[in-house]
Amino acid sequence: MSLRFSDNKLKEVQQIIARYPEGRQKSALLPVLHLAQQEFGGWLSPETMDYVAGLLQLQPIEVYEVATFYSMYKLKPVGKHLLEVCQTGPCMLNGSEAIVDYIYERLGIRPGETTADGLFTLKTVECLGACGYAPMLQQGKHYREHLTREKIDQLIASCSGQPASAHH
Amino acid sequence: MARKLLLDKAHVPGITTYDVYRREGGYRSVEKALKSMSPDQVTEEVKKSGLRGRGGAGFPTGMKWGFLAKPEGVPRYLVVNADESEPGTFKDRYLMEFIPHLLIEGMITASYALGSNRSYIYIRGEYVWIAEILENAIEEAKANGWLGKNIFGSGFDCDIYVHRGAGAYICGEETALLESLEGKRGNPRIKPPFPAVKGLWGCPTVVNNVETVAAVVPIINEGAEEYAKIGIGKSTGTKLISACGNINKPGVYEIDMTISVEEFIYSDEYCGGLPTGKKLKACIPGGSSVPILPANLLLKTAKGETRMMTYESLADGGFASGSMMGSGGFIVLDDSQCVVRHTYSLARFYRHESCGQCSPCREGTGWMEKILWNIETGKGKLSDIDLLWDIQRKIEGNTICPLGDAAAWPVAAAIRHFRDEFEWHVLHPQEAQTRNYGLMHYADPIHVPNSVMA
Amino acid sequence: MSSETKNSVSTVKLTIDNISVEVPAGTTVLNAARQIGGDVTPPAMCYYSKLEGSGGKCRTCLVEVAAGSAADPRPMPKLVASCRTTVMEGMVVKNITSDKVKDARAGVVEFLLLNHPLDCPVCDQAGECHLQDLGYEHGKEGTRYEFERRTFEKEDIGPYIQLHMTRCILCYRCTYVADQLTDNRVHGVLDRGDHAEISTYISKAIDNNYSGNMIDVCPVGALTDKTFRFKNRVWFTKPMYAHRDCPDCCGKVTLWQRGEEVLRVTARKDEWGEVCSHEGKPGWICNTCRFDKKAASDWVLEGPADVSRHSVISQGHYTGLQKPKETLPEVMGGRAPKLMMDIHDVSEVNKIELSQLPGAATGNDFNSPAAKEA
Repeated sequence: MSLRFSDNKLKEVQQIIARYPEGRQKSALLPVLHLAQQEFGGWLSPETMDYVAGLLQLQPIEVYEVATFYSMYKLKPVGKHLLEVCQTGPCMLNGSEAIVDYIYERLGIRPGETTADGLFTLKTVECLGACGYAPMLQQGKHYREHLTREKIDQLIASCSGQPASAHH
Repeated sequence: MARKLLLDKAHVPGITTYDVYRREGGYRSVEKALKSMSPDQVTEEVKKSGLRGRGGAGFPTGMKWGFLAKPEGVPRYLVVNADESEPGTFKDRYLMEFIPHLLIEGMITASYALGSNRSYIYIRGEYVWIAEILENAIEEAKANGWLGKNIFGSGFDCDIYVHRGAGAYICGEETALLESLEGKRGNPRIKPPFPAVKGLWGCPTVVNNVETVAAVVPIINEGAEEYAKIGIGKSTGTKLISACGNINKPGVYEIDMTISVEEFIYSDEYCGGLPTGKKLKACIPGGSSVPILPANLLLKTAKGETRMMTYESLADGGFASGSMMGSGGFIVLDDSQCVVRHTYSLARFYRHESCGQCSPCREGTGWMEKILWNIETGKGKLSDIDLLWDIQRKIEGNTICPLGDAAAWPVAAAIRHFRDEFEWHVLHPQEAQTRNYGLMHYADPIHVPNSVMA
Repeated sequence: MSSETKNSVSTVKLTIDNISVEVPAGTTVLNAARQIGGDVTPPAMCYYSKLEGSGGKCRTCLVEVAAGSAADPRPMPKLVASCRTTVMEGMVVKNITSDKVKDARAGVVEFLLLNHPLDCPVCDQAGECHLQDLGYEHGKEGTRYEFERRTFEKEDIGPYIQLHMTRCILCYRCTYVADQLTDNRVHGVLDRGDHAEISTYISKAIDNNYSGNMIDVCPVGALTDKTFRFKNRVWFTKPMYAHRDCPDCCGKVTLWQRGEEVLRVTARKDEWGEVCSHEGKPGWICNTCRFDKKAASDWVLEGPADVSRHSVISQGHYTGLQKPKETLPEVMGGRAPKLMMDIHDVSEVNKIELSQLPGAATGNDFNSPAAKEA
């Protein structure tokens, strides 16, 4: 079955295109790629990118060039819950490395890896603009800030659909 | 208590909604500008206020507006740079999240001055929820007649759109931002031409930081002269500082640029000092790109004068013994932190964020990261320190955009002021894996020779 | 605008390394320097005058502007890319007379070579590689880089072109060719920073009649002609100007011959390594001329190509060679010298008469049964 946005989402694409002057629909590329990633499994497959190229009347390479440039676009499948831990200077000063280690302790995954059940992917990312609330991670749309071991426990429990266990 | 112009109403309950914001005096600047001032008068007012760009470079805003080309029949654009990504900086996020209408109000007034009928907010992609807050505020403003066609019968049309980036620090550079807004890779453009002549879609464009645009509101409301009275010298008005690192009260503070660095770090009104038992080792006062200073040079200039939280005082001594106000990202390191590891982390950041377009930055940032990692993990050589110095020197000033400088300066400053710590890492590779160098003499009083004082 | 003012092009005077030059207003510093020529001309790895928008990226052409113009004689605070800086009346430019420039350029050369394999002996571009020349002329001996170099797998992009990304210096020229000469660009620059690469992303063949020009603009051995790869070293070939009546392109080419055999066809290049212009138009050639017309009979030969005397290619430029007079019989009173030892008696290798081979010698020539028996 070939890929297609729902009618509602197609309407949203038209609204995005309308933010830019006539003939400048290429400007809609970043927002439409966000939408496509959200709708088609959390990552951008070549098929998804080709579909977006068609929607915006672009050459596929123009879409690949952009999709591979920006760190928020995922070019490989990721787990259901993507945990992106900020590791840059200010977060590092406040213990981001210990957070990465603790996630490994809990889930057995290092940055770049996904749990066997496909539930979690761990990534380290560079500064997310939450330096005053360090250490932190981004989970989908949300920032999880002032992280502690307990907060990681809670986060994992809520994503796994289980109550937080007294792990430690 | 210092004067607040931007965040004074940020904690009024419900201020994110139009009704409360308006009741608290919101949108007066738009009324004033559209009803009683010409666009040029607004620009003139901003010039007189002495407002300097709050994104990092500190360029006078009124002058930037004055450079905007105005050819007949060609649209002009205002683009707000909300791609806040400089490590240590999270002030714009705070402003947009807690008092979004202030930005929208500033944008309408600025758009009027510049003749932009279609203005954009380029916000970093990760700030998903803030983009939604801004879109709501725009909806409300439009519903109440502040946006759209012929605003309050002034004949001025204006619409504002939010455009989300997708994860690229480089898009904070204004021409990379414009490329990204055009749906391309965030490769900075080669200047000239400058955006004021050829910007978004080849049209004259002004790109301003969030805080800069928000500051237009008090400038128009209170008048440029009142605004310029706040602060010292060429540092007029108030400045948002986002403080983080090893301090008791990290957060966003609005300062009026009359206080000392020492007061900012230790007073309860601001950072509230360092955690119990910790001593100040170093600080990066203006976002990760600006030079790191050891405690002694941070609190006092090389001449022995008190260092103030102003553009001029933070830069006093040049790069030899000073730093920069930058974007206001204030990062504090206590005595348990390792300067080498922190510098490595920043080098990794810049390598990750280099767009790869020009060779010194593309190749040099990765090289510096690898050498710093060797030093940090006990595999470094003494000659590596000089090599690092030479690499940063060959990147600085030789790249298309300022990211090269931004990557070079932190490494240069770390070696300049903390060379002994780098050498200790090399000479004690095993010990360096188990403990940190500590405070050493970094907080000792600086010897000021008489010749410097004269 | 009246036709008079349109036709009268105003000119601008400036000095580059103390040499005065007068050029039309709007000229770049680099092109002004090219008018002077010689060492005063900054090297350029990414700029290509026939490709709009190129330049500014490699930073090899950085120069110092000691005075911005007569009206505003302040120096420019940073070195500027001469390929993207427009001349001003009274501008004072320093290139090889500036220590800052020499230092920065050596740095740029080092950066460009950082991840570039230093295996010129096995690279097909050797002898006509701009990076090789740049390293020789502006680099330092030895590298200070002690880490593993970035490598990529070789990739065929279509039947005629091979991409070896490991050698790429990201000049972007090939993407400009694809944008400006072909109707559908299928390759581009993917990813970012030090892992940026030229790719089609999903291994697509570049199928366009002008795609071969990407090979000609590539300053290094990243894009090579698969019909020529490893057939010969360029300095053993004989570059000849030739033309044919081509319905698609200008048909003016350089044939790279060995004997009568045409090993390779390229566009003609000027002294800056760019394709020559013919009647004011860049002399891009089509893929038919480049890849399919490999017989000398396809072409009208014009004569030897202009090759710089400094180029290694000029070493094999044996057309018009005059054989020195045999003097031995003269001094020996008409007798020929006695052959003391026939090399073919003792050497396996030399049993092959190289000069008799139809093309370049390969391993097969030496390993074939005929060679063994010979």
